[in-house]
Amino acid sequence: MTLDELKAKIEERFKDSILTAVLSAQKELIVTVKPEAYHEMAVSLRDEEGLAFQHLSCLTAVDYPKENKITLVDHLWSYRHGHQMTLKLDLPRDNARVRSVEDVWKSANWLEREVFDLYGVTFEGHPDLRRIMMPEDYKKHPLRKDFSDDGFIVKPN
Amino acid sequence: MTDLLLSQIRAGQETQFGTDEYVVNLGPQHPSTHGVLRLVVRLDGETVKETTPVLGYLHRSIEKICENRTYPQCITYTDRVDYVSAMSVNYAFAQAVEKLMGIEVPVRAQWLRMIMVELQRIASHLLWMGSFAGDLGALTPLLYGMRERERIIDLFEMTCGQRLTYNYIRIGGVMIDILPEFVPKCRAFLDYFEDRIDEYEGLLTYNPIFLERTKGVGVITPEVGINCGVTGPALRGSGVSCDVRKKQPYLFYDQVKFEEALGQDGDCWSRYRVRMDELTQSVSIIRQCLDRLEPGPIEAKMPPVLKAPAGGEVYSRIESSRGEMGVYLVGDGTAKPWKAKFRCASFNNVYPLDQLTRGWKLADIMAVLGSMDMIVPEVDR
Repeated sequence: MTLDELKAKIEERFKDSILTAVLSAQKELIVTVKPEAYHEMAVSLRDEEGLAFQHLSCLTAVDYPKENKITLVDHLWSYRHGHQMTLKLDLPRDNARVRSVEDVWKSANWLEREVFDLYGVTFEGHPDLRRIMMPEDYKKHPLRKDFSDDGFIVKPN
Repeated sequence: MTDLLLSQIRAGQETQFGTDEYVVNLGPQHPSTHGVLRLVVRLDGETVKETTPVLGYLHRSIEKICENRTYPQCITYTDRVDYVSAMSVNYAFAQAVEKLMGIEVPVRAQWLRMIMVELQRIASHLLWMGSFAGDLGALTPLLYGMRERERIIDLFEMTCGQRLTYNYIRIGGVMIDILPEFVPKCRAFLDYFEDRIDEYEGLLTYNPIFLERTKGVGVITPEVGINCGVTGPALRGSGVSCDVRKKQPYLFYDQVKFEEALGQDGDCWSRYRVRMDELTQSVSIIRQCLDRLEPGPIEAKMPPVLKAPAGGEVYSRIESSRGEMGVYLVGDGTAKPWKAKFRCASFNNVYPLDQLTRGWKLADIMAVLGSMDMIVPEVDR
């Protein structure tokens, strides 16, 4: 299946759940999804025959303080069909909460803990949401753009 | 009294002595955890009830540092993401930047990169073989592995002057061309090394103690492995074809002949088998690369300051020595990345450790952890 076909298929199948689907200049399919439809769509993406994204390769977040949003980014890969896609969803920066996909892809367990730790995104339904990199009593979220700490000075980009 | 107690235990009856579970801390400083990984293990006698890895002891926030450095500066930090396989990470980052900015890399540079990455794979697997066997009580393979690894490191030193953190593969090409004597020395090494593989196999592969410790231990089924995000030789040991070199060919992997090493049982021994087969495959790949090496430029023409397009993003993957290595970059129109994320194989490969060791003995944790080829700087970044 070419990327254009995959894009058409995803647009058709999830037309109520997705906001945009674009092919980037780097030939990657990037789909932005509504946060409330995220979990349901993740289950379909994994289980449906023609999609079969069994492998959650990477889950991370990007902070955009100017737009007041944190974007959650999932990179999916299908061993069966050999196609790749990027799933994105925007969360408000001051109240970043979303349903966990840990029950869909087990690999999300630690990846979500990392995003929780470094970005302060809360994953509802995660069985073990604790800090993973920073000490347990740490209060801040280091990968947020407005992070500052004694001894670490962030220069504007 | 003792006789009575023994007879009660043998008969499986309750004794007057209670048994309690207890918790043991392995690490952060422990030889078997290869760095500063801490495992909190709940034990019943010697049987493992639960293993909880505790990460973060080596967290250096490389991703945050990269956000405050220009793209070429970041390459230096990628060496430290996985210092046993620094060339792979150098290349993974360079490839992501090149994709993001649309840089065309000269042919010679690509072949050189392939030679270096494959030599690095051999060096990394040799170190793994030594430490894995060492964990199981066989110390000789470590010395043998180090002996051959030394010759690879010498080749790297000859080329770029460094022995551990090379900073050799740069954006748009490589740092410097190889010396004329590199090719004969490399060929001589490959000829010498091919026979050494049989030597390692003679030491380990069908060694009865080694078989006892690894056969049937820590079995990853294909479904669990894929769902837990396990990649690389650890997943190929379960027979899942997941080699990025085959699935999404980069460099010139589609132009060389090699076979993807696959195991069957998914146990520690299969993972060992896959890595030993990969040694042979890497030797064959490097030979083909050396044959096709032709003179030419080694660096692309690039603007003096590299700027990524605003809003541009890329996720590019390679097969590093440990598995799938992904780099996610987001550009914002300046010379620094807005976001840099390293998806490291070790991070996901350690995750199923709890599942794999439940019900096994304490000593089997070392066998399973060793067979995953985990390296802590990659887990913590």
